[in-house]
Amino acid sequence: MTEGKTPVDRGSGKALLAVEGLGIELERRALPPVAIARDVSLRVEEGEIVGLIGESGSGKTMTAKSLIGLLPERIHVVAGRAMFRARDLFALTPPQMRAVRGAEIALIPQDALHALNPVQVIGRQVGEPVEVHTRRGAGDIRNLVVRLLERVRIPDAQARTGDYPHQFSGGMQQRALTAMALSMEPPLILADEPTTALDVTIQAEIIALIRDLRAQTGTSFLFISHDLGLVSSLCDRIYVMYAGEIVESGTRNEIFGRPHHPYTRALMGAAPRLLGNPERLSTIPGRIPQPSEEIAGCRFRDRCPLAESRCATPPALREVAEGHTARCWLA
Amino acid sequence: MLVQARSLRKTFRAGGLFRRGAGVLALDDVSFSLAEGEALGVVGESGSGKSTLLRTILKLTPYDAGSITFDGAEIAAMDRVALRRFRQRVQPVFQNPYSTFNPRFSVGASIALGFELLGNVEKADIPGEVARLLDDVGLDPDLARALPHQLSGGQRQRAAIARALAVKPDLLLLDEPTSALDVSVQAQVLNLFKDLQRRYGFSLMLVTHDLPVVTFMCDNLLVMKSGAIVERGETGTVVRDPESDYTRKLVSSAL
Repeated sequence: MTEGKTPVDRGSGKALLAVEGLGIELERRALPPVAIARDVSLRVEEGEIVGLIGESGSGKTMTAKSLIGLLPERIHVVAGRAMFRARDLFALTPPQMRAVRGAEIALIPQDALHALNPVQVIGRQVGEPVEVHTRRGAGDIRNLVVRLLERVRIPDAQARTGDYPHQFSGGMQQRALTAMALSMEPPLILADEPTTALDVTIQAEIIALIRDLRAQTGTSFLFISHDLGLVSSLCDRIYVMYAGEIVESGTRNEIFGRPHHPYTRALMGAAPRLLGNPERLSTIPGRIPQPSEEIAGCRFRDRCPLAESRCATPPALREVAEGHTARCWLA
Repeated sequence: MLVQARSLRKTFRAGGLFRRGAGVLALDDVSFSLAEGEALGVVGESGSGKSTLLRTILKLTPYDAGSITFDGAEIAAMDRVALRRFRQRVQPVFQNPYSTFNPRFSVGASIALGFELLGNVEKADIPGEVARLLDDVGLDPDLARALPHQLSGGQRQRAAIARALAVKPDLLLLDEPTSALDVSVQAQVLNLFKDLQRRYGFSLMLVTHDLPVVTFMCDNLLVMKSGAIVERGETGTVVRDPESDYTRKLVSSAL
């Protein structure tokens, strides 16, 4: 843990989800456990689209999965709490968690084809959360499924409910999973890179869909992505994760207009732009540390162009501007 | 012109063995040329025909009509000797290099194959040349002894580039070479392509759905849709002032 207390995220609205001091560890046989995420605090307000960005291995997917009790075997929440509608998600029993998952918090997973059951028709799968969580009748559910598929703009929805997943294109599969996530009208949807495998114009459609849903129903989203461009156009507030820690957070304008953490800045310089690219992209030397690597002090220190002696002491997240925090001594 | 394609046409037959379908027109009257030292980008979405075009130039997919010449010679008419030389001068790098490495060969052995095939390096000098190539692509020469699965995604893509360069190609064909990589690793690999192109002087053709990658890497651009080229030109000009609706849609999706 870092010294001092993480400043509490201030928000104008009401927190729907407030995660504080989350720690996730991988248990190992005959070896000490490995920290996958440490001291992760984040909040999602009602009707807010919050971005969680980071590269592979940063811990962003495990953070999301911990919230709905879907961590893989041997990976556990070891610290912190996640307050959601006056309950701590980490303190729920498995049956209590099952009642929340899909009904109050839904997940749109990354790989649509693998998330769908190949031998069950789409309509059945989209209606499954409602079948599990309510006592609504079969005819009622069928009508609801058609409406949901229409809402995510599946053409000829009525006829397509009888299709198998392989008969859907990648974009349609992703939209079907989005329909499934919406089926119980959950107040919070966790979207784990929902557009990574899709073509850019279809990606733009899914993003428009998420915006519409928020506008129409006030659904909140935690949107996990490694795509800075996407996050900058969609999200109200953004958390940047690096090597299991939140290293910066703030509003979209703060993060993209005045990034403070050297990692955030480096990430932005590394992404090619449509116009006005430099002759060379800026790169980050070295690579992302493995969770098992012991790093004293700031976890970005070895790769940071600005590192100095005080970086040997782990920095805490500090407020650098109103509603903008960074985990860096120099910020 | 290093590559000149004229009115290429390719139809994939639809349906199974017993069904007749209309077929999919994967290449529809495609013409383009690639100059020596040029970096040409091909963008389009899944099913636009961009990968078919690349495979056609590699002579992995035969075309139904039209012609492709490489350095003035029609590739469909090449005899065995000419084809062998062609396969050395044109090298592909794919999105997932893991599937193109023999999992039982060390990375060094895979790269050394190129020198052995070409026969331009004394056998005793091959390990030294492999080490030099690995160094050129920014890998520790000690990784020559590693097996492909022991490398990270970015390292493997660098090894694939080293292997392609071993046979001193005139043209590198890149199919989504950085789509599977993280932003910071992608930046390293894209810079590497640029540096190497300057140093080795090869031409390159880059197929991707990622418009910013093309604007960073390429002088000229082809935009493909449903098998046809819908727009072409100098990259900056096309992106700043797109003429076709489809290109406009691609550009606005990438903004």
